[in-house]
Amino acid sequence: MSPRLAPPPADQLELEIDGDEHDAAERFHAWGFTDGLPIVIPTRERVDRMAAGAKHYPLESLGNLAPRDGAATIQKIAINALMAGCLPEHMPVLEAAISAITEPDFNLIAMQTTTHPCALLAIVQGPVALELEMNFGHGCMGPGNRANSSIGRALRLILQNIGGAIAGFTDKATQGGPAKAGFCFAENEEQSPWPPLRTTLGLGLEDSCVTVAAAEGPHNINDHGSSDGESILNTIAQTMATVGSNNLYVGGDHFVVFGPEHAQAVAKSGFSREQVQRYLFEHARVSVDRVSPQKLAELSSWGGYADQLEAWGGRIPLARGAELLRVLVAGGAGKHSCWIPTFAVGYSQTRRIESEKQICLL
Amino acid sequence: MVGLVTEQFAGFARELLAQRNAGSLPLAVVQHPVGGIRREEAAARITDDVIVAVVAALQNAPAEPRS
Repeated sequence: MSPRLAPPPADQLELEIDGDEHDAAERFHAWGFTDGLPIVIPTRERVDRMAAGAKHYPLESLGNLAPRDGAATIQKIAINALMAGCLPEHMPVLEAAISAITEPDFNLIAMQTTTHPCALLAIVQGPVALELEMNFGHGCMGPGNRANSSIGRALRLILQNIGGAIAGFTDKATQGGPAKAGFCFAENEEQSPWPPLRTTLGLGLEDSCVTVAAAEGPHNINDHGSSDGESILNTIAQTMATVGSNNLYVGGDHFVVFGPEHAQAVAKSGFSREQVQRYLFEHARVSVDRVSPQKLAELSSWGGYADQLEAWGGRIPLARGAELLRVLVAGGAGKHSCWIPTFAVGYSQTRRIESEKQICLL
Repeated sequence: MVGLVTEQFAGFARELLAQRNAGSLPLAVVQHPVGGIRREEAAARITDDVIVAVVAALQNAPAEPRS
């Protein structure tokens, strides 16, 4: 592990930059304020410009971020957004995402400090995704789009610099994962045969929102052979039914992201979103004979379901209810979908992205 | 109250407690790992010095046992 210097006292954080920003950038790396990649140096003028894109006022805090309990003020969010390469118009997405992760049911402190490799997933939905020209098509979970990449990266820097989750120190992920560098994409509403995800989460078609979750990277599901809905769903269910995921332990909620072609084939076979959820809930199960006795003892004690194994017929579900399998569409052409397993010791949260300046809460 | 942590996570636990203004919480540090070992092996680690240290910590007399 590379040495990491302690950051200086707050009153020494203001730097004099004399033309060349190289030294300032190196200072940020040495203080441990970066993710290891080059950053945009947050000068006062740039930060002010970024904060002006927010829907709250610069000194307002959206909550305290565990484990450090740092106050997530708009100004601090703007600093990290700037460092990550965001534009001012990305700020409302970050505000909504940060507000969402302070919900107790999200369980931020556990997400930030666990040995599990969970990342902060952000799924942007509604008109704002188009306005920000986010990628919801080919390669939407990968690199190449300014908003997807910089919003995802900004969230990681915020968790690190405001929340205090420092890799190897307070973030104890055994291996971590590439999604931790940033994991943000938009829903492909145009090619979804089902209503947008947000309509299942209490929001309307006209709303924009972001759903955040403590998630693993996506696990690809390839099925080029099946053309009917049940066959595709069977492939998805059998891919999900693995022994090593946290969802098998404690359930939680997790995400099945259909590629448009799979989604349209499944819908054409008559499956509504609710029927898809029900099918996967019933079929994405792990038989106890696939689990070693020692692991089964741990699973059933941690997950609290020792007395439910008989009722489940010895087949352990990956969620405790069908509605906890979140189904949406993203991506472009091709016969691929994915499952996004989660940390499961908490639940995803969804927040409306504000389009108007909010009343100051100070 | 006393925290129980394995030696691999002791530094992490102290950092976390300090961040959350609970740095004075005593910790009992036990051999790593706890997960994935047999029940008998786990029981064997609960030696007298661990119990003494936990009791001492509960009585506000911090100690750092190792088992």
